[in-house]
Amino acid sequence: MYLLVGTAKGLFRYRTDDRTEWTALPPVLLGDEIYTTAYDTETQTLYAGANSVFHGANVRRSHDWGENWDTGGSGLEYTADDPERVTRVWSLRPAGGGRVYAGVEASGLFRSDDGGDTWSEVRGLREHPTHETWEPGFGGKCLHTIAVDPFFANRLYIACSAGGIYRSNDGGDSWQPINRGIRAEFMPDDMQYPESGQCVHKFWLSPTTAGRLWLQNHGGVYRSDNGGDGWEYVGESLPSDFGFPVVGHPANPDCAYVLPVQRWPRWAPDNVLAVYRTRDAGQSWEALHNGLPQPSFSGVLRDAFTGDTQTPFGLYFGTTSGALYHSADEGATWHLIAEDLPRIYSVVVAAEA
Amino acid sequence: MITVHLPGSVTDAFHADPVISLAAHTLSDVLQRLDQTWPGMASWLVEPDDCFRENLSVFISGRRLPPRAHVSTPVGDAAEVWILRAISGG
Repeated sequence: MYLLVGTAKGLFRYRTDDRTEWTALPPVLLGDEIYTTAYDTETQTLYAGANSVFHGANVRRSHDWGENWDTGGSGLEYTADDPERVTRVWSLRPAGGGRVYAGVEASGLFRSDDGGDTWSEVRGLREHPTHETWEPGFGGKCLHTIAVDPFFANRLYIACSAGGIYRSNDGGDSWQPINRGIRAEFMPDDMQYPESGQCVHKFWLSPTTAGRLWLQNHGGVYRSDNGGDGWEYVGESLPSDFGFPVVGHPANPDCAYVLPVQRWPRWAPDNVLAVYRTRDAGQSWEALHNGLPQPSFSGVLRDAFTGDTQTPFGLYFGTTSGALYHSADEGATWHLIAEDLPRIYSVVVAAEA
Repeated sequence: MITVHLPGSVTDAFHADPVISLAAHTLSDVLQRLDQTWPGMASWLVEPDDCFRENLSVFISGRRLPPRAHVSTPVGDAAEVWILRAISGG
């Protein structure tokens, strides 16, 4: 199993057989911002969103776990007459049969049906009339989350900041915003529940329970039981309902994990770095910080927290201060894998099928 | 014939020669030839609007082009073209 850690200055890789001993491999894609990686078990292809300050955004591929990389396919660009430009790759989602989705900055969705050789925009998304409500957050105007629904054929979800969460029931031809009940706290008091424009930071789609979604908003943690038709606010008992990532338990739909940060500055509340877990669908949350440092002045970005598929469930996160932690016991205890890395943008678990 | 010097980040990724000689009247000719030899290279150097990427510096025979120069810029006979990564930090 590999832990792929995307940072501000390249991709760091850690290999393990037992989730106890970790072997650090040499960093690769040096100097590029790695906002996301993904592994396609069907094709044994490792994808990396490599964002170069000099050479732009590319989806680069490796077939040997990152030892060698190609230079990316073609077409991951808006047209010359488009007022927006593709400046970063934020999310990658292999969908089977050679199909891969890529979410980019400025917020948009691309699709490849040949494993990343050629890309074309899923134009229906940016053509939605609510596109004019999208704006950049501090991290940029980014489409950062893509999910393919395992229960409903042709159903996709995406989220962008700021813009909100959207759903397609026809494979991306048409989209609808599904932000009803999600608060936009940065709007005037009487305009805080718009159709779109919310700053959704991350969502997670359950692979085992149809319609179950968890969502970390720019203020607010939410759960949906109906595929986003409605949302229930479940962040009241957290020390801060602000945060970036959210991770669900793959087998228990009522279990989810968040990493709260203060609204300002963006670091752990009261400088206690802790993962918070709910096991009752969000009614209550418990702090899990055994093994984590105190005081902490770090935050954790939206793609820098993830889980594996093993039993007990393993969790992994990287901080803005370049520390990498893991838990092999569902969050009960935490262990340092690496520190003094560059700012960590993404943490991904990958293994051969 | 003109001479073109490529940045190391590009030659490393594409396993390309760092210095090449070719016939060209404009920078567009240069990019077309580069992309024929190493598919995809042009998009690492220019954006869809045919201007060079913001953080690249281009020199033609000792003359520095303005940022985001257009590929229609002519190159003279026997020109020496340098494509370099611009000053950066962080």
